[in-house]
Amino acid sequence: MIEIHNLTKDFGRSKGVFDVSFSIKEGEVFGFLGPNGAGKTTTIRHLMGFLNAGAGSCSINGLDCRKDSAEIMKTVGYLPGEPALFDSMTGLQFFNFIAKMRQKTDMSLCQQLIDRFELDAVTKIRKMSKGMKQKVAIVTAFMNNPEILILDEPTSGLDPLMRVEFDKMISEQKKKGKTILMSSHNFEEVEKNCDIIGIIRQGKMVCVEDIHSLLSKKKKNYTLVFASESEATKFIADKKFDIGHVAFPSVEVRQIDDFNTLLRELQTYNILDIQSETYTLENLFMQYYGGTN
Amino acid sequence: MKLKSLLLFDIKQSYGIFAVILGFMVMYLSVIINMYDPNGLEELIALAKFKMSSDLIDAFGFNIEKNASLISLITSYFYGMLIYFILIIYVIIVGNRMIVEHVNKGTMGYLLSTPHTRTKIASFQAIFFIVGIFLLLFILMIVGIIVSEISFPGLLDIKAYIMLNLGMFLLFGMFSSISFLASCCFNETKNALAIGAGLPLLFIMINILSNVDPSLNFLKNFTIVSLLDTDAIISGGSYLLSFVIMLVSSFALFIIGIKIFAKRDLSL
Repeated sequence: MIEIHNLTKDFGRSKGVFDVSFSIKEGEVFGFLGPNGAGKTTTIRHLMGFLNAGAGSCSINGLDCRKDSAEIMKTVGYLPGEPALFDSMTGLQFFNFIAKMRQKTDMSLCQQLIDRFELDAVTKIRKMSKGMKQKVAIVTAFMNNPEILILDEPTSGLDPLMRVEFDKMISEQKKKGKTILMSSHNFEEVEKNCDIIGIIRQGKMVCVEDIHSLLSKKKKNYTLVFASESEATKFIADKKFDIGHVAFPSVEVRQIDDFNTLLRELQTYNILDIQSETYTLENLFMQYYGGTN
Repeated sequence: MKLKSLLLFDIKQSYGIFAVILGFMVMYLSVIINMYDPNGLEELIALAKFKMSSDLIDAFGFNIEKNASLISLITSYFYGMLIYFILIIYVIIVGNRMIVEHVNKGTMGYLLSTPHTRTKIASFQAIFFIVGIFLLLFILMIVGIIVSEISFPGLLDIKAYIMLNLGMFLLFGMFSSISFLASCCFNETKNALAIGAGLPLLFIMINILSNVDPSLNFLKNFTIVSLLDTDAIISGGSYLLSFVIMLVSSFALFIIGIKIFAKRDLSL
């Protein structure tokens, strides 16, 4: 559905995207991750036909993203990274404006979305807060029920409640078989919503993987709180597990792939609490993002 | 019409400036027409000399014979310079709004996320722009004829006056095409204005300078304002070629602007 082949756009000073390739099949949700300035938005701008590829190509539904942009836009809902709305209009006027430009004037879905996101659509966009503007942008992207959604950091500026609502909406869209590309910095959001993740760093794709297989591979860390220091010491002395950070009476055990082994071992101890490290993709990403260049 | 909502947006955005510019032009033109005296313009000439130095009179193109015709008066007092400064404001402001402002603000991203090609949107904006200028001059012309006929029935050479307005439209077509081309080429408003406003204003200033002193007359070769030969229009000389040049070159600049906009990278 969405195909990017060896896309290169050099802005100089090693800015841009270099040899980026990935594809998104119909019905897939692709999470696009990477640090600021890594090239996520540049890639998306190519998909939207705003930029000419320096080399390589991108296509949506087999149509060239630059040349056939107008045709592609019939099926695409777009949410820009920094939505530049027509701020002299009210929310409602803007929705009507875009709907008419798209020649899709059924506004029932739009009204549902306005209600759903509790948007005050009669306020002038200029007077809206960042979060409100983001809601306007979300409604605009979804209101004409597009087959393909290209969402550049869709939840930035949204409050936690609205994020939850947004996640729900993405999973509904997924069920309807929509193809979605969303960039994000929020690991949980990506983990919850996406099938495939692609990580871009300094303009190059460093990883494109199925999130489910990535999840299953992951080993977990647990923090055990022992009833007494002596028990904790004994546990460490046994050396059966990879011991991490120790702060008596808490002991961290690392890289557990079979939780049952740990549980059986712990039967002989008096344990007050076990905390599993909340699994996020964060660790993985940190590894790719890296502190250094 | 597919882009009706864009048309409505354009109208809503620009009707204010349209009305103000039209109001100024109509007011000045009406006043100037009524300054005419069929029995001789000695008083007017004396008044001008009293108020202004002769250099200034030359610069503004306020030179006029004492037994000049009504159209000569209108031409030298209004179409000679005043109109440039009023109408160019519309060209600069609206030309800037047509393309580059949408790119600079980022709203072009939304326009292009609808199923319309860049060529279509830019062509539409170009047409809106030029039609606006046509309407301004057309309404002005009608008002000029009506006011003249009321105040001095039968004294206005209407054919020459229509050609004068047509010529002015063609000249402003060129100014607009320069402004539009700049609007299409740049990502930032300030850069587009440097060319799109700078160049037309420069041409107008050169025209004024070239009138100040005969020694500066050669400057006429460096301004497109010279393409509009008002003397030829009034005295029935030939001006067809310069009209064709203005028409063709402004058309070409609009097309080039649209082509460039359709091809280039947009900072959206």
